[in-house]
Amino acid sequence: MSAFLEVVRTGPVSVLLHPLRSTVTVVAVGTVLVPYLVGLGLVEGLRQEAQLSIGDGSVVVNSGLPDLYVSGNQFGRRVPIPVQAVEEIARMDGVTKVVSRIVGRIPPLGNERIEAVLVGMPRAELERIMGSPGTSAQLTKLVDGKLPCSGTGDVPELVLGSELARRLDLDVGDVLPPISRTSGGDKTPRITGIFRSDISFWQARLILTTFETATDVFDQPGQATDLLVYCQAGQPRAVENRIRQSLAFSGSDGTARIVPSVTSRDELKSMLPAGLGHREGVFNLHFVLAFVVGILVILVTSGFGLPERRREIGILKATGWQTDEILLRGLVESFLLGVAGAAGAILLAYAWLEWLNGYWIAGIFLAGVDSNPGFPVPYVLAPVPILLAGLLACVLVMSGTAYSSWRAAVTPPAEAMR
Amino acid sequence: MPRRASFLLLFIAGLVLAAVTSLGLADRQTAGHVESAATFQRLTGGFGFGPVLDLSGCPYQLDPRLGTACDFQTGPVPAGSMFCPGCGRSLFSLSQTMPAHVVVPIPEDNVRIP
Repeated sequence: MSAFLEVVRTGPVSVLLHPLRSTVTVVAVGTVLVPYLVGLGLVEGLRQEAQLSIGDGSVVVNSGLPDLYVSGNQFGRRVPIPVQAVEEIARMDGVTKVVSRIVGRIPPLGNERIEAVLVGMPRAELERIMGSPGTSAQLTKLVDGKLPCSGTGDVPELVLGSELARRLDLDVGDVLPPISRTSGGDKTPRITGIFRSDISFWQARLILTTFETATDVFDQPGQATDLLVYCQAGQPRAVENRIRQSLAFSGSDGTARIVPSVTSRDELKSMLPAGLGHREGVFNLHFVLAFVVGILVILVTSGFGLPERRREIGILKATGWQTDEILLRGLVESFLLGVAGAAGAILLAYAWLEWLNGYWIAGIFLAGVDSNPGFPVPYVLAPVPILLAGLLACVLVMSGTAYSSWRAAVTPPAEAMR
Repeated sequence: MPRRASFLLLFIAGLVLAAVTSLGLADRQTAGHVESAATFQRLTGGFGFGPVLDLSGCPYQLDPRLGTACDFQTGPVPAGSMFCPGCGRSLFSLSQTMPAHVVVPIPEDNVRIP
């Protein structure tokens, strides 16, 4: 056992014998691993955000989010649904609450023509959320200012996303030019609050207002883009079937028929692994190729280009070392280099995502995001990819050095030393 | 073991410790973020699902609750989704899937079979 430990202890000495080679190896491992870890960190971050947006029980307990989203459907495309459907759905067995919502695109804002999404939630619903004891304390961490409470025909009150407010140079109490020309006349919207940048990256270009104000802004009375249906436990499937079977509306001209389109939370959940998993697989495939190239690079830098290493192994053999001892020494050396490379890569990935806020790389992976995002990019450094990266780093270095060490170790010492 | 080798081992151990600490810090920030993100989602009724921030490109990639499919998807063309500014350049993409529990109704015959 002591002989084994003695050989293991020569591993660090071997690392120091060729400092340039060791440095190049660690840098090569880091260069391959850092983008890999950053990319997977962003995937996991987005996955977590998406799970939160659908109230996935594995991330958040008792999310308070709807079970079903109902909109209209014509020609296989989603269309607005008449608000009269709220009462019809609310009467169905198993339904606890129905909330109408408007989500729409407004004309680009400011000189920079910044895109924004307007979301309108009913004033009563916003007041209920403000009044609930658990949430009201959270709201101060969510919004600087207060939530909108404008009614029909009132001056529109808006809560702006952090990126919109920053780029338009707006603050709480400021006013915006009228968003769109409506039949009710132009009204100058007032900003009552600004979302904090760290709550969710989807708030960046969001404008939250009341449903009543959103109706005025889009000038679409009696229409909602979707209805949020809350069901009793175990009832969503039955309610979904009832809505599909019994709900149908005629359009404003009395002829066009609008049938309901229902999206359940389970349906959304099923999209996550399929969508993210597919691209994640492609991403992994690219990095498998990068790892293959990395192995070849390390093979070249570690063995073939270093006759000193052959001579060193020849001397060790001549002084009585066995082939397995030389290989063990090489493995310890590779393991140390792999661990150093992986640990350095994790630190750099963390620094890139946390301190540099995913500078440049977030703009590649998240569509429509600048190279310097105006909000904290979502990321999760999950344990499995991290462990996988460490393992890959060790395998990468070991496969690069093991073969060259073995070739030198089985060569007669006199020839190896030549 | 020479002193330089001991220093090297200490350096690598320090590097590993720093990496583990950074992972712990990242995890702690994540836990704090979940609470406020959940409240934001409650406030908007659930908004956002994909890697897109606005509705200028592909609404489906912002949130599949807002659209039924990618408007730019060119279907049978190889790598057809790459034509979409939302889907093509992103690492993440939401493909439309048929959930396992959905029962497709059997179509009725147009002509009654005698």
